[in-house]
Amino acid sequence: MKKNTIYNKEGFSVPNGYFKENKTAILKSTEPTITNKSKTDLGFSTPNKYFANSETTILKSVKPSNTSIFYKYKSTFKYGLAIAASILLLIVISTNFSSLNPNTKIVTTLSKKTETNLDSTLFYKNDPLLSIYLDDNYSEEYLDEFALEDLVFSE
Amino acid sequence: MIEESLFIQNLKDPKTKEKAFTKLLDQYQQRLYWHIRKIVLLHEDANDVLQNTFIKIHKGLPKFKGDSALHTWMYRIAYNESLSFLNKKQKMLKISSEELTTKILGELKEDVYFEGNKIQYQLQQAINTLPTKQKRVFQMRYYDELKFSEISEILETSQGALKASYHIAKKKIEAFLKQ
Repeated sequence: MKKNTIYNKEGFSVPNGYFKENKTAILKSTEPTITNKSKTDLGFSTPNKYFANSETTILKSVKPSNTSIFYKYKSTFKYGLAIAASILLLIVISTNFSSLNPNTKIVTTLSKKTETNLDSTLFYKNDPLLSIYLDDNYSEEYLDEFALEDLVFSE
Repeated sequence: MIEESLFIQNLKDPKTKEKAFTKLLDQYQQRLYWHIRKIVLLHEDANDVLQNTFIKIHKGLPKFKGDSALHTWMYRIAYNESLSFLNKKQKMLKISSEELTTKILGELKEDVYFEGNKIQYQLQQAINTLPTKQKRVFQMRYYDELKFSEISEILETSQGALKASYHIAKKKIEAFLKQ
């Protein structure tokens, strides 16, 4: 009542919406000090109702149901992994055994032999190519032999 | 202390865990957000780091032994998450840490959630000229109002060294702003 008398008698007045704004200011000042300090001193701000929304998001992301699903399937996953590993092991073993199979070996050796024969024929006929692979110590011997065979005997 | 150990028990107990975690979130969400925000500066980045921090806290609670205070432990997680976020950003952009700071300061100017004036922007520039440790000590002591003993646990540095760093940081910021 005293306040009202002062306003009335002394002719004090307040700006429009003063009490509404003042209420907001007082409520703001009761927020945690760190928030205020960050806002006023650093000029940082956040979207409206950010903390309320963020809390909901965080709680959703750590919901226990997600965890229980993980634990529910954890054992299944373990068994699945063991089965997959066994299958892989079987594949590796069977591949190794097939490489040790005598038939396979013959085929491989035969094909290799054929390849070698082809190469050696080609190699043997191609003297310049052969000379590249010859060691210097043998080149003279090779030339002598070449001269004897190709030049003397061909005559 | 008894209250905290009881609270930790509630956080670990599957029956009370959910309720206790919501309480923890209520109590520390804002503090940790502002702690992170001062390191990463941009709101969107702070939001990502805050969520990761609480997910880590939630995962780590069963292993929390109580060697340090709960809030110090959470601050340490938030701090490490923030640094790891910045490192990832730096690697992704293939730039140096100095270049990253310059880039973030540039983005801060455009950030709709930065309402600071020229002086406040200069303050950010001043803080970001400091070496990493001085910067963190200054932010934790001045803005987060953490005790040197708590900062010492978070940064794993002796209190003496932290006090010296804080003193030097303050002087450097003053000098920067006077220029």
